[in-house]
Amino acid sequence: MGAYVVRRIGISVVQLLGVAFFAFMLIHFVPGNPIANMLGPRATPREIDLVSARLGLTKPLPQQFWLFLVHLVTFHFGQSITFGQSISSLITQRVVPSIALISYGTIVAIVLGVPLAVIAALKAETATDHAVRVFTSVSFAMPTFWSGLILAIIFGLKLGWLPVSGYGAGFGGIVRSLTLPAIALGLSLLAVIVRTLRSSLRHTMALEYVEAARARGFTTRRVLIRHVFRNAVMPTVTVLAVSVGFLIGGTVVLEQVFQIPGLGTLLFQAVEQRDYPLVETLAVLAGSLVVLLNLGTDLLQATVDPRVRPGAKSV
Amino acid sequence: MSDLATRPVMKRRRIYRLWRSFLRAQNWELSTGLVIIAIMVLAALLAPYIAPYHPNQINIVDSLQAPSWHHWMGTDFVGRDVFSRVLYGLRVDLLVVAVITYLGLIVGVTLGTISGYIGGWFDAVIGRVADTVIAFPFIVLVLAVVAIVGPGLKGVGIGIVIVGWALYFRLSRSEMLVMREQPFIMATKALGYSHLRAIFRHALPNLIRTSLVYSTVDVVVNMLVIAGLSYLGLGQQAPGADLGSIIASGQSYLLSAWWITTIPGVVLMLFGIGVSLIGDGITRGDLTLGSL
Amino acid sequence: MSLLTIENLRIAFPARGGFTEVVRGVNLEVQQGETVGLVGESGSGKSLSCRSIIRLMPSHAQMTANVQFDGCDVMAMSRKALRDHRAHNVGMIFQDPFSCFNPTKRIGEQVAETLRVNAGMDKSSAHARAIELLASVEIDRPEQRYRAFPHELSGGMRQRVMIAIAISAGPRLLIADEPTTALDVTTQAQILKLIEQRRRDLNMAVLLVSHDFGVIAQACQRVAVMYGGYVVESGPVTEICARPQHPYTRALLESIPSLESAGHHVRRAGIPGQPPSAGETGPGCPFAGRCAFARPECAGVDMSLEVVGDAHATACPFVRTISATSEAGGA
Repeated sequence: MGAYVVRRIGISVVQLLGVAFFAFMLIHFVPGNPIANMLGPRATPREIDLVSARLGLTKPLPQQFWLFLVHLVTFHFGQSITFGQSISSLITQRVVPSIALISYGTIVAIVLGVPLAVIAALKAETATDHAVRVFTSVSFAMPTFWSGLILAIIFGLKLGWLPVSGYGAGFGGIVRSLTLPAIALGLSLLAVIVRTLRSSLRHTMALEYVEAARARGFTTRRVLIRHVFRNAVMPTVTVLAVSVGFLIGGTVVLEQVFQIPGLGTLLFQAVEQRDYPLVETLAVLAGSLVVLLNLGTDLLQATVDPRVRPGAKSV
Repeated sequence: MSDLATRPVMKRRRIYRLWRSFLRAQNWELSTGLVIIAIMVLAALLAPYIAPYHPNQINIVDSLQAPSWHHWMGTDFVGRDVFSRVLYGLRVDLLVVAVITYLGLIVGVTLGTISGYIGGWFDAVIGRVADTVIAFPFIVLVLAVVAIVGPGLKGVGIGIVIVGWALYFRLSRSEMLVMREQPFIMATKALGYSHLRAIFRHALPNLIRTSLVYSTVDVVVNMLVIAGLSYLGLGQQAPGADLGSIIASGQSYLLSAWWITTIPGVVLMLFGIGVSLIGDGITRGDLTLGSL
Repeated sequence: MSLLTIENLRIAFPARGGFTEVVRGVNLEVQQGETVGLVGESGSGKSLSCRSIIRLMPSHAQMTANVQFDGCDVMAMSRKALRDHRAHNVGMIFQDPFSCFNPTKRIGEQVAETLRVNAGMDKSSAHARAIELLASVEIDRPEQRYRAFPHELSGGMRQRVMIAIAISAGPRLLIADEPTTALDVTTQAQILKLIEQRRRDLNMAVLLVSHDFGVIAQACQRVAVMYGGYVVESGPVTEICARPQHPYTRALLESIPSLESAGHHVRRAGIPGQPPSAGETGPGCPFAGRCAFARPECAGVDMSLEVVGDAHATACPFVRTISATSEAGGA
């Protein structure tokens, strides 16, 4: 177990370095002079040199990468040129709406998805099961921004129940303003949850120990919750962790649809303005988040399932 | 030896069986999916002949008309025919999504097959690059590439291929690792075939199936990403149209002209459903994003 | 009155255009305290037949029968009554002692869970009783083993724990479905001995299901031989070993290594051919296709048991002529 943890953490460290290196290299792939691109046609050569020097672009590459890493680890991300303030303060201002939206969307997907998966698994290969499958296929095929707009038309504009843009104040205000985007986000994630959970539930229900538990006279409820669900849920947790990248993507677009001042909007603005240091930082943070979440679920899996041995990763 | 001889025959038989079950409509997922996608592809190919108007023809007098006999899907805020724009938009999106998805598949499967076959430093280096690419959220990396290349479908396409190959690499690499040990590949070595022949003539046809099945999920995801970025204004640039940008253009008229936004979304959704059904029909199982 | 009576048990599964019957009219009786064997190849319907006692069927299976347990009609039981029946009257152990444990829970907890749920014990007394039970199935250092996960125990050890769970409520009947198949020969003997001991102490009956006549012969007083969904022969074990009647029983007895040559493991001639798969057999005797004495009339046999000796019955109506020919041929 100890050896496994060390090895698994080692893999993540290598991945984090890779993520940082990849993001770092982006700016060097920009055709022409990235600083000139960024500052626009009216910038004087002197300004360009000044900004290049301030970003450390005049130093040799290995030294630049080292400084980049040091700054990342110490959370000194530097200045954003277009916003005229430090990147860390920009991120702290914008991080809460995005995290709230992603969590809310995940909750929506779980609340809808888990019962659907259980029903589909219990009634496998019946009309109910097919109906669930069709429903999740439809929800998967809908573009999130489009389902967001449709929800906005129905529940925002026609019925007037919920706001269609902005970010409310206080807990109630936040929940109200994030409900529609969270439903759109949750629907896009639904198919993944339902299909993964359904198939692992089916797999687990066919195992002999479930029959043995029923033979002992346990109630269906008890067998399902204590013996089937707990053992079948791990692949779904893993998939959820992997899906965070997917959710971040949905958030970037949905924040635009509903005018939410989150990290997605920030990234969008940074891309539009070609604010390379900001794009670079956001990309590293997003990548690191995914790497760390994957690490977390793998370690969780190792504690939940005693069979996970060093090197043997079974799903 | 018998393996070498029987494999292609079995493959042909499987395709024949799929085709027969299609004709008999036993596999309703496959037949429905194929019909949906065939109609969409035909409509896109024949857009110049079907479209009643030029997609960019402005006609201010007829702006924001509801669907009618003259304009099946209504008109937009400058009077362009939405049906014609959707047809041409679909043409663009289908072409782009097919090219980038299968470009990614070809790159990924080729590298994965070689990597799994020869192993060593090549495998180690490419494997780490793939791990890194997969760690990034898809859209974030595509956006970063757009920031470098500039807005437009070119940047979006490059971004998606840079990310997309990695999963096919992983899939085909792990299949190759298993296959390398199987008798019929060993036999090719014993027979003195070259490495290239062993890989491409004998291993590749057998391991590409998994990747092709996965591509039915990937195509849908890519389509949605392309549409999303076009919606954000970073994909297809005006006056050209694709489904995402048409949806965006209707956003200011959600209440007065619902058709501009709604209809292209339904078309996107039908595409996703059609492709997913084909995937379900092929596997008849539970292959999802999660089983990777 | 017998403890268990099964009459006219039929189990069918939906198949292309209708149902396929895999158990086709089985009758079985178990008396208080006795050990009855159910023997047959895989696919003969023996596992399903023994599960009918607690109505533990796959969801799509159709089961009809008259099952009486200690005067109660099992088929008429409500869900609640059926749970109580499973919890208190009947214990069951399975072939693979690994896969019948929840892999993520400690084995002691799985014993204790049964006690808490079925006997309504609180946590600490369930813990204490579980350790007692583990000790009673001859697991040494039960306190430590309590905390072991299923994969940390040997196969024989796991089967002992399974027995502990099955007998925890003091059942009247223990169903043992191939309890020794997954174990090696020495462990097999120990497990059979343990089951016999527990049977005597608790005065329960045992229904032992196996494909191995050797195991049945060691442990049982009476045996029913199953083939293709029918009981083809039943009677006292000693009687059947000495004078097998049905050609299938004869073939089965001939195919087991004789007791004298145990250790050499010389298999005598196996039964030629494959057992029929469900749905392949029509009316008449399902063994006819592999039977050395088959004749045209076999297709018309109704497979009901005819008494041929003291409590000994067989479904083959031609046994007398067969005995004559085989003795004549042997002479």
